[in-house]
Amino acid sequence: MTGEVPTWEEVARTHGRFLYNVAYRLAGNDDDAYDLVQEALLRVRKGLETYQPGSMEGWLSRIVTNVFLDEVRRKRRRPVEVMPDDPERLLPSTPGADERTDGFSDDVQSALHHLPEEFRTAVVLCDVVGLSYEEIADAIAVPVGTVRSRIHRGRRLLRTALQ
Amino acid sequence: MTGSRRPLTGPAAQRLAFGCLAACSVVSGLAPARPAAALPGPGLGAGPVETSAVELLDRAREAAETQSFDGMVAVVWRDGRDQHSEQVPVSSAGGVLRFGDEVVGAGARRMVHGTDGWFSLWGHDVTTLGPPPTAKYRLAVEPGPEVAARPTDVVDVQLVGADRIRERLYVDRQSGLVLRRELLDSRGDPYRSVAFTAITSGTVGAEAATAGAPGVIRSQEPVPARHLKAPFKLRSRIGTGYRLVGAYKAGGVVQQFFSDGLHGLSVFEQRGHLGAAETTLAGQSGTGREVEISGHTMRAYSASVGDAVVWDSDGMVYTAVTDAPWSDLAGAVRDLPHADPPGRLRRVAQTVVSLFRWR
Amino acid sequence: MIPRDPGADHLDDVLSAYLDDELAPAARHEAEAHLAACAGCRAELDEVSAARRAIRILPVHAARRPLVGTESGGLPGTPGVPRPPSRRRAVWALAAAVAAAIAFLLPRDPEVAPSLPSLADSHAARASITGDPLTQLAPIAVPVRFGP
Repeated sequence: MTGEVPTWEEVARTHGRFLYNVAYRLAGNDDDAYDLVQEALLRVRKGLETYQPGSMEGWLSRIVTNVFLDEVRRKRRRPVEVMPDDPERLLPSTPGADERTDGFSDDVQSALHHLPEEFRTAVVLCDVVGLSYEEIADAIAVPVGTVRSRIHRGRRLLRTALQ
Repeated sequence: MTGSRRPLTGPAAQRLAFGCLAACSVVSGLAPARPAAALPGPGLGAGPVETSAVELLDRAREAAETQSFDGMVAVVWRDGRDQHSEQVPVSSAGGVLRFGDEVVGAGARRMVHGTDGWFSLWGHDVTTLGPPPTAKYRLAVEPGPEVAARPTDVVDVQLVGADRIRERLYVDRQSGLVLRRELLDSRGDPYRSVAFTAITSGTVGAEAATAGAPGVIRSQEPVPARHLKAPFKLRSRIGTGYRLVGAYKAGGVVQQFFSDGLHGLSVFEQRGHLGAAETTLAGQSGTGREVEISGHTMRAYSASVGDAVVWDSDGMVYTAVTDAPWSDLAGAVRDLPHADPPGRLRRVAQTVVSLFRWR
Repeated sequence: MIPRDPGADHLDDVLSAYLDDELAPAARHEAEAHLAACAGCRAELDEVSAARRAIRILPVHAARRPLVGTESGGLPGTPGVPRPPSRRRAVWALAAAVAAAIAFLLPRDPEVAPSLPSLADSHAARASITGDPLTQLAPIAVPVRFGP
């Protein structure tokens, strides 16, 4: 990076894979991850006008996390009806030819998805993105002590789920 | 109007067409030595007949119109968290099936009494065969409990490949009628049911015996539609195992009726868009409840006849209605168009981001 | 559960900060001293460390379809099939112009309110022809209409 403000296309081209990965770990499924990235890219486009060169991945993480949390809050305000019978699948969804899955990753992803959103967000920003506690605190607007507590409790819950 | 027996179309012809499949249905626990005289329906021969679930259900359909009886039916359904229960008196004589003072079925005709007289909802025979139920369902018959003080055989319905019993039909051993039909939730509790609470067979009251079907004042029958003009589109399949059995038009509304062999599902389409989200729909409907299907939010409604979901997409308003379990309705809804209106999350993909190519 | 002395102070989330190298040198030193003496906290450290590692070694999850493209299908098939951007822009611009022209000419679509009770009755009547008449028709006779 030269330190100049990149174009939006450059950002999406260089960091799209990173964005999608973070979105997927937050959202837990491909459809929602896809939506998250779309909205995040829109905000990226707007935000580039005032972007100060610095940690691009940190800045992108903050954007995609906030999109995620906005959606979480929106869903909380309008509870979704639970139906009397659960949707059933007659056929298991067949993975695409280019999909590599291993059972272990699926288990971890599933356990991650079952964490409450606040814990999941903190864990993903720390262990998937690699942000410092201070960067995380800045991204989600909570005190550093809260970040530390959420990460710790999230990890403990994960460990329980994985046993 | 005499009670003419329904011609050999529909389910009866289905039976002949896939006799092999019917014989292959699972039969368990059925008492083998049931005397032939107890078997309902004419022309089924003497001697022990291995009764399969599909035949049992086929005969039940005929029995509803050929048997004479008098009784009370309880209709129970759940919407949101509330459970509703209503009683409906029913009687059948001379091929005319009557529910209270309001609904009559005779042959292939269906009539409803409105505020200003009778009108016809349906009037003609149907010749298109639907799929056999055994393509999607595994049906098993075994001796059942008493319903309305009558011994029954119970048909357990499971999806092929799933363990959960999702539906049960209790068939009266004496008359062959379906005395109870219930949908079960994931815990095995019935959440929707139509069931006799009392029934007497044989001769019914004098009034019912002499009165035929009402003279119809007006028709609300939809017209069969063989071709649909754009933007309407015939869909041959929808959801899990539902196949198009008929398409009809009435007053700018197109109805496509699908069957999976056990349940019917209708998709109504009309051009236009829905008003503001909180608008109540015409009639005494409530405001519905919000549900999410496939990432889209829309309104769902429940009533005695089944569940319905309403939404609009790209200048078309869709109403999907069925008495099948919710997962069937959701599966069909997923297969229908959902163009998100401006202001939603995905507008980005269509406008801004489509300019960009990402590798 | 991790057995530990219930009375004493334990490290709790300091353990995560320790693992993530977020402790100042003095605090780090204290934590290590406590760990040396407390089996319960050592056990918890192992647990939390395992969870941390499990997330950190997750592979990058790639998108299975292109991130860009219209909702109605856009680019078919495998993700990441590139096309020259200039041609795409031209096609998109043309499509937008055509769409705008058509939208101008079409009459505005009306606001409609489906009559749920009568659609439901139509459905039930039709369903009772090929289905079981008893269980399909009885609900129509129920006076209560659609609930909330």
